[in-house]
Amino acid sequence: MTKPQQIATVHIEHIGTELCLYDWQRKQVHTLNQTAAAVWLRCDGQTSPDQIAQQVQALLGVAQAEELVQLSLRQLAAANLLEQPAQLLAQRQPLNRRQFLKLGVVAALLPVVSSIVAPTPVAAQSPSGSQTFDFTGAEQQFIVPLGVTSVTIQAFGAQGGTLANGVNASGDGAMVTATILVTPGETLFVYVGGQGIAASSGVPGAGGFNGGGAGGWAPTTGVGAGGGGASDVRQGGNGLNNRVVVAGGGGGGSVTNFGWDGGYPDGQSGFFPGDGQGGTQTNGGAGGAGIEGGNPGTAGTFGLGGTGGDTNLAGIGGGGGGGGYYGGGGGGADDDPSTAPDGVGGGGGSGYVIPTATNVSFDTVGNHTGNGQVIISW
Amino acid sequence: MNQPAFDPATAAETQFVAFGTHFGLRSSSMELLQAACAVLPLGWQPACGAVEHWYELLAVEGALQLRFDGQVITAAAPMQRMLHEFARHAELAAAEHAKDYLFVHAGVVGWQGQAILIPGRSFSGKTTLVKALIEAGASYYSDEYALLDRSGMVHPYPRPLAVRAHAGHAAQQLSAAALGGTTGTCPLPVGIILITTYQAGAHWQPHVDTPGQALLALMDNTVAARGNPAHSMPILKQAVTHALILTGTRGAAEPLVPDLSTRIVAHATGA
Repeated sequence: MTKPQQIATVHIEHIGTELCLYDWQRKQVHTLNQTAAAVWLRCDGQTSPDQIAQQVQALLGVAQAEELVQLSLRQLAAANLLEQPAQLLAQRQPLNRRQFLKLGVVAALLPVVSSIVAPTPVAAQSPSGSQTFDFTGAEQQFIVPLGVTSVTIQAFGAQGGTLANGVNASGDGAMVTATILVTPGETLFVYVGGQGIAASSGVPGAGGFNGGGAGGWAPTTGVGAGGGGASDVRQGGNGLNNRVVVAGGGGGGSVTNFGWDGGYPDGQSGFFPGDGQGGTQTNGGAGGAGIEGGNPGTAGTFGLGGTGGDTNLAGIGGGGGGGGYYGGGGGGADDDPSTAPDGVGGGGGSGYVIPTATNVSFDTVGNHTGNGQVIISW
Repeated sequence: MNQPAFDPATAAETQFVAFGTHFGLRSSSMELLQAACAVLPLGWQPACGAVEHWYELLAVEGALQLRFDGQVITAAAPMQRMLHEFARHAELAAAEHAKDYLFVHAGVVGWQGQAILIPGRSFSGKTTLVKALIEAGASYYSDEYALLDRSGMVHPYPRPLAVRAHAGHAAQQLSAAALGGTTGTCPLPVGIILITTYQAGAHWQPHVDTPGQALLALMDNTVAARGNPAHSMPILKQAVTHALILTGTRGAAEPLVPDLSTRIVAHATGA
């Protein structure tokens, strides 16, 4: 049988009966317990396994020394601590640990070789920090810091806009939190949703930045409010398909009619015929029906809230849908609001988290007011 | 190493030593230099003489750029982010090249005249454990690095604790005093090394491990493990040889405290 030879490219530390080795070539660190150490130290290329077994038996007073040496050699070869490991590994299988224990060998005397790959300085580092992104109305960027391989994103969608009469009956933005994998130096693109633009008499509210739908027209303060924009983070590009975390915006309201909240997974839907529906994971929310001759709201689409319907008379316009992974539907217009409430609020936008994300948490129905926000922590 | 070319009319320069390594810092403006000097690594001291590593903070075509030994580290970042990157890089470089010390990523407290080391990286829960131990009366040494000297003694590296209210949330910087504790000042021998991972609801039932396994766990968190193992391993050997090594999964931090209190007293008295 081959006389085993230990590799030469190691740094050695003796700790009691254990050995700790650093393999310069493979950049691995190994700890050998007493038995494995005793065997490895005798692998000088001059001593046969049988001779090693005799020496180990004398040293440790252990039965089954030949089998123990075979098991040790196999483990040492697997850890690349012996020359020509393939040759050793091709030899017959020694007894396994369970068989040794059945034969009465004390578990502590079974060979153990524990190994790690030595970390790089950056890998051993513990980065931490956070950056908060507030609404700016434009794309923002986050450069992943040195040594950071995952970040936690907390996104808040924006609320829908204020009505022309000064009341805010719009839906709230959703909250979504998730941890994603990143690469140091990588750029993430951050879009913070804007609150729906305030409406004024005869001028419907525009949708908030990042997908809020516009409110519907009316000649008076009955105009629809704009939907709130979604807040999201994009990876690998700044297109809608690059979004990895999305918190939906709230739908716009209208006079006496509430907009509906952004949510996760789906945006909130209204329950009156004129209300827009919430966006879902696969579709934009349907637009609300036109009431008493008013125009219907449009459906939300991928990343965009629907537009509120315009009134044909002196009625009220529908609220815009909230932005989201899929936007909420716009509310329909009501040409005769004096009748029973028919609802013309915009639906909430849906949320999204990339499937590979971890630590996902969310508000099923949003309660964030004002502009959106994104916090990235690491 | 060649020094970088700068416009002498506006360039500003300084030098500092951190843990035995001599760094130069050059900037294209005095304002940048002063801002960078406010975030130098813990324990830095002014120096002059032969520089081993150069940092450059430059304004290039209206954008900021950070270089280390001529290599671009970060480019086109806002000022605060650039300074943040510089601080992080300089601390890591000081740790990597430290001559008389070894930096091991770990939480550390002092108790009964001994140090308790909790090696681990980000999000491993070590800060939570350090905080619980401080609140129980231990003195604070670090929640970032175990700073070991050549004899394996642990020195304070008291950066503010980065405490997260919830996993994944942004960290809040707290001093030991804010937790009602004190910060250690003297080097301590290593009494206990906790090799532990967090698992919600887990019951703390550790087993006593070997010094060799502890060395392996510490090497896995040593900044200079790969760059200078011949420097790292003898120091780690000194640190682990007389320590009690406890390995196990833990749940909440608080239940560990009484157990560690009992064990550290027993270890100190040789019981």
